[in-house]
Amino acid sequence: MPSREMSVLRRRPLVRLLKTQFSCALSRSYHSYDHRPYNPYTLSQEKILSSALQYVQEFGFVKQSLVQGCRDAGYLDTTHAVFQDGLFDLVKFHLYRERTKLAALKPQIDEEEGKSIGKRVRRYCIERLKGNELIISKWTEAVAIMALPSNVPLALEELAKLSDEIWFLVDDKSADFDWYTKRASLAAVYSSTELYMTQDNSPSFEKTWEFLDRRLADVRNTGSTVSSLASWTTFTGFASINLLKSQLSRG
Amino acid sequence: MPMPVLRSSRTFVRTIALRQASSVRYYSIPPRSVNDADAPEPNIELKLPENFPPLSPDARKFLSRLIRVDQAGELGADLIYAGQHWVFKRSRPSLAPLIRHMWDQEIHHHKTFDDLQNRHRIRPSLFSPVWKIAAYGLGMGTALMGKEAAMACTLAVETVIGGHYNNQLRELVRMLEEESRISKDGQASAELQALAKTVSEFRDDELEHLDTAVENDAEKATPYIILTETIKGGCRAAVWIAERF
Repeated sequence: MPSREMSVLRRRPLVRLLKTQFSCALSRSYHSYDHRPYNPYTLSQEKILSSALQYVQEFGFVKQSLVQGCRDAGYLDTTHAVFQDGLFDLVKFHLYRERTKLAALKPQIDEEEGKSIGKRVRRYCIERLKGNELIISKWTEAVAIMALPSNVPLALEELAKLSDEIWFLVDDKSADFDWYTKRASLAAVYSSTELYMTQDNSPSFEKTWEFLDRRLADVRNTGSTVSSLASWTTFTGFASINLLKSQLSRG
Repeated sequence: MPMPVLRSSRTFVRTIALRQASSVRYYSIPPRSVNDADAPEPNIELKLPENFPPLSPDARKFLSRLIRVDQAGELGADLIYAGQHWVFKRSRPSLAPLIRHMWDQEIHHHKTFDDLQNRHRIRPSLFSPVWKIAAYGLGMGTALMGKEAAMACTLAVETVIGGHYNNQLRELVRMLEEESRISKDGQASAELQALAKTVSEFRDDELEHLDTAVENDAEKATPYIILTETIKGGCRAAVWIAERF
């Protein structure tokens, strides 16, 4: 980074917060097919965090999981201090890993669900929610960590990235404001379903899938209501103009 | 820092000038994944050979801004010609085929950038509805003012767009040169080469529209300076906003 930018970031913490945290998702989303994918985690970070996630089932999102993870990866116990955001780094790594697993399911889901967008979106949401199954009993701790004010922007960025990933895998071709409304509605559906799942005790989470179906149906109904309203308004507008024209030409 | 190959003095001077133009690096050393067998595979249907190191955040920012603003620009141009065509079809039917021809080219440009935006997963401009309304209104408004005003509008818009494409192309060429220097076979990535070719062709199309507008009495429009400078100012503001939002 040029030195002028560095000095600005040092002097203004708010600028640093906005520049580093918001600029990622919004400005740098170019996905290349010729260049190797950008991996936000280094070799050692991935090693420590993936071993730490194995202990979350037992201990939860606490420092002990991170410490055990460091030990398993062959580092000192105090290496957990390398993660500046602490437990939030663990949560973020879980989110990143589960999100990147979805792309591998594309051939299978395309074959099973065919061309239907709604069914495929539902499948991706279910597969992603299943990724939380093992640690669902500790997920409320993760939600509490994500709700801390300093962590909220990055947590929302991860949710936005997940929503974008699902729509991309469903081959969404929207190019205007629809892009935003689709992602916002899916993010809302997914986050509410994930919260519901934390208190769902039904066998193999049947009630969660039903909740998801109800939320997706809500979005569909709202969408069709809005487009019906738009069609009605357009038709009424043209009909009124034609009526006025005919009245004026009558003389 | 390796010295550039001295092909000719003009190329050498141009390379130095381009390098001094900006100090951002486009490539960073890529970190390896923990275990390649366990690493997640994104976009499994597009397993192309990964010859090139990951693009740096600056490069990705530049490319996403480029596609976002060009998509918004072509959306605007498409609708400006649509507005002008709607008016001229009724008031000056002899002019309609020319407008239609330019409009068809803009439709092709718009579709190309829509496709690029989808493929490369870029966020489109947040203000797309605003650009749609403003562009259609501008096209209709200038066409209602007359043929000369419509052509002056085209002149103003195409001047701004032509210069804008030139700036983007300059930066893209610089990226391609840097990439070809570090690549194994001296060739930049096919994707970026295709993007540079697209931008170059579209720039030529836009300058052709500019020439057409001048040939069709654009400079005879009555409030010429006010009209063209207002439209140019609006275009520049729209470009600034579309790049960021």
